[in-house]
Amino acid sequence: MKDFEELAHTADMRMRVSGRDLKTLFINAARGMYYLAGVPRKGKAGRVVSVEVEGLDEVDLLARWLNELLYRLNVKHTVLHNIDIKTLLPTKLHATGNQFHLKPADVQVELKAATYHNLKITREGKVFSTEIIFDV
Amino acid sequence: MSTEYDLQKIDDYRWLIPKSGGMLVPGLIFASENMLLHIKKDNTTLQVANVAHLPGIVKYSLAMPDIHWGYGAPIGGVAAIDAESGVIAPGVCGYDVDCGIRLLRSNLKKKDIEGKVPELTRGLYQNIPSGVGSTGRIKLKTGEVKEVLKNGARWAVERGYGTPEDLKHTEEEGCMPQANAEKVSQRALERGREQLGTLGAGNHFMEIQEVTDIYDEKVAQAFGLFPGQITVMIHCGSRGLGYQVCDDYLVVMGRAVQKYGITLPDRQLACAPFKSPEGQDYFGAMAAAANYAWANRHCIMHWTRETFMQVLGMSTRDMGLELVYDVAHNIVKLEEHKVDGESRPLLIHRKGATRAFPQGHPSVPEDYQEVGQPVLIPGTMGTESYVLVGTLQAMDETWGSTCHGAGRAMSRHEALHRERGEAVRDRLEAKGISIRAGGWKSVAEESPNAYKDVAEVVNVCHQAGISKKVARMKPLGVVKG
Repeated sequence: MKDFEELAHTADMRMRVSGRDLKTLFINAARGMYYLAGVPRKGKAGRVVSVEVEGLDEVDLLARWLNELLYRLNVKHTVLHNIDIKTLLPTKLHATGNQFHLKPADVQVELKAATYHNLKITREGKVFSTEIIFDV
Repeated sequence: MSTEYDLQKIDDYRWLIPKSGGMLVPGLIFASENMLLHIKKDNTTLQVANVAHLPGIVKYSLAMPDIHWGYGAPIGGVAAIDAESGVIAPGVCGYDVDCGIRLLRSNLKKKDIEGKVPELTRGLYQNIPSGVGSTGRIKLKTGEVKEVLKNGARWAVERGYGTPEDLKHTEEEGCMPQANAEKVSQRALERGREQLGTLGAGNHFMEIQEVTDIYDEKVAQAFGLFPGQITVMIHCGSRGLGYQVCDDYLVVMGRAVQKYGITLPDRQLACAPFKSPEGQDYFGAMAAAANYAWANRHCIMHWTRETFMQVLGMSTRDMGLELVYDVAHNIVKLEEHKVDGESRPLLIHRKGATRAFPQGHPSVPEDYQEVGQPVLIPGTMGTESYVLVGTLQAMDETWGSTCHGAGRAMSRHEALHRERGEAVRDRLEAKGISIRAGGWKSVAEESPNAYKDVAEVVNVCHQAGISKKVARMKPLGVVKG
């Protein structure tokens, strides 16, 4: 089981994400998204910040979580490492992480959004997984 | 990935997906038999069928010959939805609202820029910000962003970017009157403050071209095109502001789907009744984002003219870099169309599809009234682009719509693994095409090999009659975002 892996998509970018629980799935999805955007691991260390997202259900929450991080990446040029999800309810997420500042040029791929297309979270045994398509 | 839907052949260029399950109308794909391999391999027939579930959809869920797998709706998808009883769906417009193409014609021939294409390409690259997250030379306050959203390309012209004549050759004259900046979120406004006049990344580009073929003398003459002529093509959209509008309203529509009891096969198709507050708010915000895109392309066009003046030492009058036309290919428009002989207001969702209105249509510029609206179809970095013209048949069959480009045939992932960006550059330069780019990775992703054959796409449109070929241009210099 890989935490995340890029899959082929004709026009956009697609990623499969797995996690041993739902919190890990959400964290791995964020890590995978940063990987697709070509974000470097290094950055100027920042403070611990908090992220709160609400959604209609877990799937909506996943899309909104990623799009919140994408907004921070594309507009504020910040990336969140060492993510710790404090609360994950079906309609609410609270996470913290170390915020690193990037130069705009550090982001190699402009991901416009995490889409809802065929987005679902499945559970097989103890493994949670999902596939996410990002508009490029 | 296999398709769940069978295709029934109607004729050499039309394929039907029969209505089944929750589909409200059949699907209709314009393609040659040769193109079906890609279409079936992809997930696209499923996406065409999914769009057919949208409440209020009229006649068909349509797909143009450049159809390929997108998200929600396929790229190359067109859906007409009854404006009185139907829905509006952000996912069938796309994130890059009013992504579009504009074409400038000139008085120049290749000999006039001989040896200067690399300098022109370098000048365009330096003068027009491009690349991931690019920010521009224009810095706006939030109130000024709202003025752009309200006035579109007119805002640009009032500040010296482009001329009033350019507005006449822009779809909607560069401004959708339904725009409502108050329905655009603070986040979207924030994203619009520094990105006006920027090309962006991905498949966006600027290209210096030479007209190589004229297929229709009369129409080409009306468009001011002639063999050997130098043209410039610009492809970009509404940047982060547009992405944010789509993202914001997909959240709104997610709630609306529950509120109005709408059943959909894919959450990316989330929608609301057009007449509902949610539907009206999205339409106002989407139109505002479209206006931002037209202003964006106007600014880029202005700096393109300046660059040519600087490099060639010629006046704009001598160069004649005039706008042939500007088309949107990701947009929702409120248009009047005939349904069973009766004129009705329809919401035409075009996602990766171009408006293609015929001669005599009131929305076609006065000087093109006798021939029809120009349709601008970009190829790839290494292949030709086309000018087509709208037709009456398009009005009858596709709500005045046609294709928007070559359409991808290969994922970016695969393109990156097949060829390095530097190799693509070398191959293009061996063909006499000068290229400047922010990074070689994006060049590899956008390799000509990653796309379908644009000539085949255009030929299907031509043969099916949903637009007619006018001219072909080959690339001489390319700037990639």
